[in-house]
Amino acid sequence: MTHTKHIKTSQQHYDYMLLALIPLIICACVIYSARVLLICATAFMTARIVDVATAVARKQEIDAGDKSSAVAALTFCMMLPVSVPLYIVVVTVAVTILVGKHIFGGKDVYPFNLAALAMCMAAVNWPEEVFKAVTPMTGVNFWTGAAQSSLTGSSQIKLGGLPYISTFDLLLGNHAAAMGSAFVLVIVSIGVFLLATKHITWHAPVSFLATCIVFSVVFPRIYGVSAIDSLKYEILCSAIVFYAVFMLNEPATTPKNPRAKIVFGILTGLLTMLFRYFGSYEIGGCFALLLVNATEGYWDRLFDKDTIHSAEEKLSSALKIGTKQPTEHKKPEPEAKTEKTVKAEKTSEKHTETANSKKVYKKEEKQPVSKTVKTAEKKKSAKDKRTAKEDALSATTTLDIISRAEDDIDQVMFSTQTIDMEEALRAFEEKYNKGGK
Amino acid sequence: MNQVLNSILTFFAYSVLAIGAQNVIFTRGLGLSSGLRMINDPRKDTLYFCGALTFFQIINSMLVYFISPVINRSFLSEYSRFITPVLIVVCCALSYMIVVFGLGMTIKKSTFRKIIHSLTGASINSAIVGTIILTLSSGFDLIETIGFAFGSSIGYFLAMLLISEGERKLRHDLIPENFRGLPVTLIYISVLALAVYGLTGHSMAL
Amino acid sequence: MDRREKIHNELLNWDNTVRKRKITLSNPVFIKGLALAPLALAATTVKNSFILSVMVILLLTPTRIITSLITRHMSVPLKTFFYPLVSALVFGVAYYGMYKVMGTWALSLGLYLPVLVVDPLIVKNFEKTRKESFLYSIINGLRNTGGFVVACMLLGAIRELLAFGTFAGKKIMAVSLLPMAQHSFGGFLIIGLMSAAWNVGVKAYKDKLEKEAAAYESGVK
Repeated sequence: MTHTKHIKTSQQHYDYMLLALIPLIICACVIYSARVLLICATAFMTARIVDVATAVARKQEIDAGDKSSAVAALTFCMMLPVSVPLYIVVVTVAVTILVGKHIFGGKDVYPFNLAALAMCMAAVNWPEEVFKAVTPMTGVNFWTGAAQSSLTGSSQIKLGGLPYISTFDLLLGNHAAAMGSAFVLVIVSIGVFLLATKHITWHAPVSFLATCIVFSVVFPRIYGVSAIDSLKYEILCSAIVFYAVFMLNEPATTPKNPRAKIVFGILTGLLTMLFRYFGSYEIGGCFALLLVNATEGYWDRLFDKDTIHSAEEKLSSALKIGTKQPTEHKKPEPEAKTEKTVKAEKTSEKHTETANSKKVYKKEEKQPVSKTVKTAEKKKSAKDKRTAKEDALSATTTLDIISRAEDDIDQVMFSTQTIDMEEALRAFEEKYNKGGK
Repeated sequence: MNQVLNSILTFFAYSVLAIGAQNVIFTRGLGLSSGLRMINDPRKDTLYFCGALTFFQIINSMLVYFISPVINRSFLSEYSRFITPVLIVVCCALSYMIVVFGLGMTIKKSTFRKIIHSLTGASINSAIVGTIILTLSSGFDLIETIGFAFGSSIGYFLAMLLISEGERKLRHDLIPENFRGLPVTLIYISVLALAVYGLTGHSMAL
Repeated sequence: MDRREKIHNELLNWDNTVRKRKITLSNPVFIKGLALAPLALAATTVKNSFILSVMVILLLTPTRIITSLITRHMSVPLKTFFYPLVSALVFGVAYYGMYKVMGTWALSLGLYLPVLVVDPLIVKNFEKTRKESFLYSIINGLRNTGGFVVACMLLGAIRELLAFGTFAGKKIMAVSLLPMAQHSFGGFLIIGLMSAAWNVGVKAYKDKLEKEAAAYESGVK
């Protein structure tokens, strides 16, 4: 497969994200012991093994340059406590990379942020192990992870308390928290570096952080302290800054249009705070991000109608099928690619697919059988056309229309026809990824 | 005045509950089969379908709310658990017939043709029946029932929008062949359901 | 009918072959996506799956037979009224019967048994104007029931094993591999994965038939 510019730029992004995670891993090693390396190496290896195994199973070339799984695995590790059992890391990373990435098509096209998905999966499966924080600079058993655990600042706020942690410690990350998501100063420095080198854009992180800050000020959760202190604890005790820098700029799961990115950031911020206030878990940002990831395409379409329109036209031509309606009961509509047209394409694709599957068989079955199939098909289609036409003409009364609607119900099937993703990525590339030139 | 304000607040509180934590699709899975068929059916329009669903949901919830106590007070009260589904289905089927014939006689045939596909399927499905059973078993009062019914429908609509949006993304040739169509859609829904689970933190009681 | 003729017939009428084999080739759950609500939410253990299966066995075929008999000469709106009503009445009787036999165990699935009444698995087949013969209603009802029961029991067993490490309440594994299998999202995920596995099976079966057919053709030549 020839690489598009999009793939090149996304590769650069993942290279730099991998580089950006190294300072966090070093800080975590200093504060929590070398077990951090063991966890990261386990996650990294699991992600790589799943990537290779999937490529082998799908009979595809092994992509040595694909670092999206490694970045996701290490980002996920940074949100875990150092005491986490290794089997949790292995199972979660394996399931996430397999289900969240490869089933959805692999790198550059998966719809959900992998690190967020992994964190949510780990949190719902093993909450006790995942939310146990380790006191910094205390002994941690290298193999078992046995350590002196304490309540995180975020949990204390959730329980209605006040975390007694100095601002300096909050900024340095010197408090009981996840492995790498609490080093606020380091994370901000990494963010500035990535911004300066143009490997991330400011739109989503800044709008996300601004929304979280405004929400915390307008609806303070911590009583008995000043608004600034409440804001400080709310933002610095959680992994909000970490989400902003490491998870809101992933090329595959965030919008391409700058205005869409801002809306994406605001929405993620809003949902993050709602999940933090009313949800059951501290990692509200991960749950929120999964939900907002699902809307990503809509914001791009909303804010950049021309580009999306031309891109979708290209996709339609790549499909090599018209937007002909599946039955005679509905008139074709000229509009570009509304929801209805997409649906119509799906059904016409269904017909194309059935025809194709029959063709394959015809080839193998030699003359006599193919003749029979062909004749049967011809007869069937002629009969169908005539019946449908007669039906359409005769549908004049209310009863007719109702019966027609109900007859049609059984015709619905799930579409399995696809579009050429290479073409899709190229179309978006022309507009957005200038860095790859 | 206070009572009116309280009623409005209750209505919205129950609506929000039904949209979020008790989402009819992502939390309870109700109406998913009909919803997936609706999304894959070019004759059905999401807006018409969900509009019809909202209407039938509220009307039927109110009907059952008023009729159910009559059964509970009669000699049939012992069997109410077994009769309730029949009662709900009768209400749904009757309201469907009244609406369809009313519309058939009053609006243009071409408009009727456009919406009838969406009406069929939106009137009698598990999202409506499940929500009504839930409101009855929870002992909601009228405002709570209407608020919950309204919220359920809006939650259903939002869930369908998210799933439709996902369907647009799940039609490319990089998805493994055996996962295309229903499997990948269900896995996509499972991730969204996981995200909504973050709000409640526990599975709903059956 | 010899093997060669059988294979040719199956391939030539592939749509028909698929339609007839509800348990394997056109499973109502894994291929058609029916009854997803009860399966994703309630079929978490073998016991729950058993209750669901019993209800579908009692509900699907009898409802189909009764409706095929009484609504044969009815107009469409009347059918729309009667189909779910018959389904609900059969459900009421079946539910009461199950309650008498199984006790409160039958009630443990809450609203997920009553919603079966209007699930497309039960109602979909009736929303057609085409008349269905008595015999066809029995055969098709049984095929659909079989397809559902196989899917439901399989799903219950796999989810129980993954979530609790048990099978029908008996401990098999010391750890639970994937506790999320007991939740709704775990249910959707596992149904999705099993649906893909089903697709693999269907494709493998068709490939096998095509290879056999090609072998026969070349042998004849």
